[in-house]
Amino acid sequence: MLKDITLGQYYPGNSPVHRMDPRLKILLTVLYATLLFFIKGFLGYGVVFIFTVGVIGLAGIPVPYVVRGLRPLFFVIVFTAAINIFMTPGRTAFRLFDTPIAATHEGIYMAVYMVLRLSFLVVGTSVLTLTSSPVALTDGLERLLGPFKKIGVPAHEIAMMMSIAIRFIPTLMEETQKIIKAQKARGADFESGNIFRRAKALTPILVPLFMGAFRRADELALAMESRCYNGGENRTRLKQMHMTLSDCLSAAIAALVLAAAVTVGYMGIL
Amino acid sequence: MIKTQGLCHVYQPGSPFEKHAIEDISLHIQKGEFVGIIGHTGSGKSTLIQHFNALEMPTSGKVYVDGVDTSAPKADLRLIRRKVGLVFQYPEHQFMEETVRKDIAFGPSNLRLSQRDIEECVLEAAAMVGLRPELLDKSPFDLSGGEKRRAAIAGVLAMRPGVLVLDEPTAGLDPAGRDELLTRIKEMHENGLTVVLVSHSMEDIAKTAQRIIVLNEGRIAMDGSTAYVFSHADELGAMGLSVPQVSVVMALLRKQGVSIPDAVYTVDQAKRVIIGLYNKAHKE
Repeated sequence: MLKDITLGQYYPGNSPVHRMDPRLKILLTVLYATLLFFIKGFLGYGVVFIFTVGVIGLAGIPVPYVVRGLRPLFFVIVFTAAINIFMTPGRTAFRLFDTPIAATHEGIYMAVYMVLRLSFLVVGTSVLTLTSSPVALTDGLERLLGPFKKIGVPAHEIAMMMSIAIRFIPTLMEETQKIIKAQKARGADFESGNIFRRAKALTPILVPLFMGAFRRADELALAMESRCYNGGENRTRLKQMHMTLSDCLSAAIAALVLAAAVTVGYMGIL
Repeated sequence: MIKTQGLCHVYQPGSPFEKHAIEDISLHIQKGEFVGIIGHTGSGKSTLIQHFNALEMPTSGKVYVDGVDTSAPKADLRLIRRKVGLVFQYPEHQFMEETVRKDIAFGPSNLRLSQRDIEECVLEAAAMVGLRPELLDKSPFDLSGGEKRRAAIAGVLAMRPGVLVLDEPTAGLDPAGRDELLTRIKEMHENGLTVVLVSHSMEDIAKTAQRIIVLNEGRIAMDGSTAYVFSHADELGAMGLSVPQVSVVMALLRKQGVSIPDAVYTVDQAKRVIIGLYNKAHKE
């Protein structure tokens, strides 16, 4: 159930990918995600495939574990493929049960592209969250957003909110389980009835859950204040980030490989 | 009433997080008993009691409620949950209605009773926990700590269960709220309700339970009368548990050569013993 969601949950380790500066990792992921949409031709995707598998291997994460992260998105991917196959205008490839709904050659081509793009997008970006602890990630984000503070972006506050939100996901999941059980003990029924009944049956879960979240927020605010928390200005950190030579080198290599993938596509090979 | 046979429960079997919460638990709780369950944090108490009303299902072994196997495919789980009322820790965290009355009515209305029967159940449950009728139309969030706790327990009692299972019902209450609640629970037991009380407080257990089941690392370490269990202070100590403080005092007195009977584990009993000793000494 709720616990089975593995998408992007931190996978502890000590590989070169794990140790890489989170700032660089975030930037590379953004680059990766953007370039995915510029790649043309299957050879380009071949390069991306080798690169992605290589990085996952280097990180020491079992490939099936990463691919399992695609499972929750299975329907989105299938849906996208279907839309593309049947809605793209072009030469008819086949008809669906002799109806006017026709699949086109161009559509099938597009669908394969979209499925590849989406899958690489999810797998590639989940490598970022799989190999960086939430704290490292939000710290990195804060530092990256640092320059935008001048134009009024509250970088520290955004990062803080993200860390707190991530920190409380497991707590709230546990709380939800507990509330569901307690209401079941009072005869609540979440499994039967039509969709409206079921939606209504959620009230006894949502109200206590929100009350609990507010209570926790209050307690956390109090705890932070009593430790003299003061965000942003002049705040030092326990772990300083250092960009090392090997960080720069690996980032450069990654960028080159990605650039190669795009170029290969544009050169029109295959 | 409740019977388990070789009950085992494993959380997340087959994953690296596999955890054997309880192992080979066989017990029988009879109608009209008052059973205390004690054990260290993580000893499996909460997992065990969630099997009593079929919120958790055995990995292996069986649980019978009134002779019905809870894991049978056509077992009526809602009927089982009605018969075995389970009050979780901090039950007041589950309030969701705007008045106490509506919140207590949540259980009975899930049973699809008529409006009149629901009202009757609510009033009866409120009386059992000693909630004044004028509190029923207040918001549950405006009550005091002890009142909140009692209102939440009334929410379970309103389903008229045959067994009431309480997980740490006095945690976080002030001494007055604690005493009031324990007195009410004792009263319900005297009126025929079977009660299972899980607690970390040996004092609470000593004051109320007739029988104690001690859990240690998921297994039953001891099962016997209150006097029997509390006479094994050393074994309890080895499991990270203790006996009531007054028993410790009595044991120390006994070591000093004062003649004190074995089964003294509440302040009331100790008072009587000491007054008896004093009167005897005075006469001589």
